[in-house]
Amino acid sequence: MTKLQIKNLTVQIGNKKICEALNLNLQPTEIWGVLGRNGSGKTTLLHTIAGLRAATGGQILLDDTDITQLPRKSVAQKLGLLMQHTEDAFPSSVLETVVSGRHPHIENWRWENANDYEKARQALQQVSMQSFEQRQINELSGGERQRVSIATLLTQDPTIFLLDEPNSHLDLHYQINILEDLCEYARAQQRIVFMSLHDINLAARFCTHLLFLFDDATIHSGRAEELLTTEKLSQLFQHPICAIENNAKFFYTPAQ
Amino acid sequence: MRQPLILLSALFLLCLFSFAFAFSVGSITFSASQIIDALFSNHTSIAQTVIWELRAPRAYIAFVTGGLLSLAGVLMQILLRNPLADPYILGVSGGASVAALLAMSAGLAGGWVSGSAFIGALLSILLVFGLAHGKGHWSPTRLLLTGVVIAAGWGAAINFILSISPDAPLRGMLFWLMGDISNIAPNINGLLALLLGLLISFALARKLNILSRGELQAGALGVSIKPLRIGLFLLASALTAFAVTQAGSVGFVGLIVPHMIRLIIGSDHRILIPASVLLGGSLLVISDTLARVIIAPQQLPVGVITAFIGVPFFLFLLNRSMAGKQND
Repeated sequence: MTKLQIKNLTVQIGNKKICEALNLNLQPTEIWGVLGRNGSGKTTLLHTIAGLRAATGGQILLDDTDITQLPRKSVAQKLGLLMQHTEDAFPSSVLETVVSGRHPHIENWRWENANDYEKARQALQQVSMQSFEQRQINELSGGERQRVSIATLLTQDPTIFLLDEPNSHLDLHYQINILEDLCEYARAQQRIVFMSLHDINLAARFCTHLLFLFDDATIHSGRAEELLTTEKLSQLFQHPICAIENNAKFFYTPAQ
Repeated sequence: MRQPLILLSALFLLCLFSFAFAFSVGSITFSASQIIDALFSNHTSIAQTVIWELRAPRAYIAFVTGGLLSLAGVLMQILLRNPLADPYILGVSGGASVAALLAMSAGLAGGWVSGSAFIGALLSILLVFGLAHGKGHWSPTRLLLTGVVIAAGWGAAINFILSISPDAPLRGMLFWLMGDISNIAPNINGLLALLLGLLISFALARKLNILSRGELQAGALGVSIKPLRIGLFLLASALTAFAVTQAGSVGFVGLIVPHMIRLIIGSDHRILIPASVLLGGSLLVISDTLARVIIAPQQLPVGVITAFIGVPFFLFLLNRSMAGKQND
């Protein structure tokens, strides 16, 4: 079973510290949510954990090996990242884009085969985009493009899903559906989900664990129910937040 | 899978046609049977002499140059993830030209001019990439802008050299600048560079497909970005340097050709790369033949023809990509 350990991780952009000596142990079936204000470094942290950005200090251990020592291809077989922005410089169809997720699993000299396309089509179905196969990606709306990115990640089928704002551009319906499917899948298939979110209520609904990134690089992490207090949330977002109870569940909303 | 095969076969036919066109048209026009006779039989005829000694070497050089430029264009476009990148626009040809002109004005000829052009091309690329990199992020846009500005700088340097040159070497210089393949001895170097480049880039093709989706995304999908980026940079530079060394600065081939292929078949580099080489080669053979005959007996440099085709095409593409952005 794949595990991801973060040891003494320090991340810095220029002079701004994102986190200092962060220690985390991510276990299969855990759904982690990263919350923080704009510019608190959620994206940078995710990219660092994915091994795409050098850490200032500390290590990311993927199955007990430092991620910077592993070939990128074997990292990508286990760890996938949903990017917040896509760069579509060249024309490409939806199916071609989604099947690119198979890249880490295909030997260097082999072309994508029927099996790879089958996986891509299944992933498209999961995000309700099966009728878009032949459409060009630059003709899609923001939400449709986001679903194509999610399908690409599902095609890659890593054990660790790093998601940067997975619900950006998505309708309410897809926000819930896609996260629900993903979390269900993670529980059933022993996957780890580690995602940055803006919406406290989605985090409360789906995450088993939370990580709060404060502006001064302090970090609180732990089980979701321990961290979801109005005081902590108000402090994190620098805005008074109150909780409303409905059917024994709490919903968080800005006060005034 | 069938579509790419049809395209590649069609391009192969175009390639044969371009050579047939180059062999038959000129001060004396040969018929198909005369060409076949000249190519495959042993007895000497005018057709045989003209084709083997004049037209074939020239068509061969044109084909290799076109192939080299198109391949370099594909690689630079993927490196910068900008469909408007091209060896000519990035100032590589300009750097090569300045070095070649300096060699010519020092009274050197032949291999010295080619050698200087090669070094000039590599230096120019290093300069562009070095300046664009600086301390900060290596953004494709910044690279393209730096290239365009450096190209303008080379343009000024070229004018300077031309204006202080004595009359004697001036005509040769001008033809070199405009891209001219009428005076080159056929050699194997360009072809070897083309074949090697084709082999390497074809082996990298799937990685290039992934890279076209952005460096971060490619990294996340298991491509080691840094070695690939450096490799592409060196390969594209070397290919350009070989092309410029052979034929002076022939513009826009590296821009138009990959784009036409993308419009037809999409962006899969496993098809794009061989198809671009075939189309680029054929296009330059045809352009060069036109350059020979349009205002015969006077000959035009082939760069004039490609620029006449390339400039409107570039503007059309730019316009289209802008329109695409506005629709978002």
